[in-house]
Amino acid sequence: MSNQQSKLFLLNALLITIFGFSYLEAEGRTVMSAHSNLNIRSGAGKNGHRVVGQLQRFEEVQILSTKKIKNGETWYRVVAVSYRNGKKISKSGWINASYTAELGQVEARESTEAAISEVPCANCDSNQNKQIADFKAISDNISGDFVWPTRGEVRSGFGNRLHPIKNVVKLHRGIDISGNAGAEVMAAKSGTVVVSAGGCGNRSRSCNGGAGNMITIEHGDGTQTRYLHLSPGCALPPQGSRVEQGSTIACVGATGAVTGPHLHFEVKKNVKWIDPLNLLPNRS
Amino acid sequence: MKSFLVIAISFLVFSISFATELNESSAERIFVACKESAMRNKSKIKNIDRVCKCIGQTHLAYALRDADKKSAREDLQWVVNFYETSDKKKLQALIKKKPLISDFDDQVVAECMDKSSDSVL
Repeated sequence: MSNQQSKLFLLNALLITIFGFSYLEAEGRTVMSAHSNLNIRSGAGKNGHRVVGQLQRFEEVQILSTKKIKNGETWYRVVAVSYRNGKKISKSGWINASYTAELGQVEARESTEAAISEVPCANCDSNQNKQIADFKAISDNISGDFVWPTRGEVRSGFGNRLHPIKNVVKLHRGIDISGNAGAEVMAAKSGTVVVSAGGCGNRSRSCNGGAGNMITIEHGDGTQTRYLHLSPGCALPPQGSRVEQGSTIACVGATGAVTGPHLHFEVKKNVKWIDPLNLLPNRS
Repeated sequence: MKSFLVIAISFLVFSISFATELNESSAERIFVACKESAMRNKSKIKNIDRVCKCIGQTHLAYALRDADKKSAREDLQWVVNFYETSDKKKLQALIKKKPLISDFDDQVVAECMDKSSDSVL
C-alpha cells in the first residue's frame, strides 16, 4: 500500500470511528472497507436486491469514474483491490456501482459479478484486528434475524441519492417496498411497540408530519424498526404491546406524504439509520 | 369593540394569506424555481418545462387535500423554499427539517419524470 493510500485509509478509519461515515465522492479517490464488509449487490429488481459478492474488510474500492443514471443517483465505476500486508493480492473486474459512504455499501449495477477473492484477516495488524472485533461486536447483535415486513419489490433503496434538479444529496433513511393497499405488514423482528400513531386518512399528506399512520418497534438490542404510511383500514397494535416476528401488525397504505401505496421501512441502530437490505434475507 | 375589530381584521388577513398560498401562485413559484435550478445545475433532464410544471401542480394538488390544515401550508411552503434555495448548506438544513416531505418530493419528481417521456438523463 502506498504512503498516500495508507493516509487515506487512516483518514477514512478515523472518520468512520468518530463520525460513523467515510468519505468519497471524487474520482480517483480510494475508499477502504474498514467499516465492514462491503456488500456488492445487483440492482433493485422484482425480488429486491441480491448480494452477488462481498468485499472483505480492508479491501479497497477505487473509484475510477462517475456515471449518473436516470433516477438521479450517482454511480461509480469501481474496481476492488485486495491487499494483504501491503501487497496487492487480487483485483476485481469492473463494477458499475453506487456507494453508500455512510454504511460502506456498494451496490452493483450492470454487475460483472466480478470474482472477488476472500481475504482472511489472519495477517492483519493489531489495529485492523481491533476494528474487526469492534465491528463484529456490533454486527453480531443485529444481523441475520430479520424477516421481510411485506411482499413487494423494493422500488426505492436506502442511502444517498442526488436530486436530479436541485443537485443536492439526500439521504433516504429506509427502503420503499411497493405493495397493494391492504397488503399485510409483518413485524420484521419481535419487540415492543413504542410508537403507534394512527388517525390518518388516505388523503392526508401532512398527517403525523408526513409519516401517516406509523409504528415503531423496539427490539431490545438497540435496534428499532419503523413502518410508515400504513393503511387506516387495519387496526394498529397499541403502544406498549409485544409483537412477535412475522406477526401481522398493519396493512400497506398511502397515508401521509406519499404519491401511492407503499411501505416505507426503516431500521435504526441507536442514532444511526441502517440499510434494511443488509439485514433482510435475500429473496431468490 | 375596537379590539374585536382588530382581531377580526387580523384573522381576515391571516385567512387571505393562507388561501393565497394554497393556490396557483405556489405552483407557479415552484415551476419557475425548478426551471431556474435545472438551468443553474445544468440538469440534462429533457422536457424540463413539463417536468417542473408537473412538480408544482402535484405539490399544490396534495396540499389542497389538507387545505384546512396549517401543516399543509407549511409543507407547501417548505417545497417552495426548497426549490427557491440554491445554497447547498441551506438545502441540507431544509432536508433535515422535513425529511419525509423531502422524500415525498423525490416521489413527485420521479413520477413527473416518468410522466414526461424522454425526460431521463
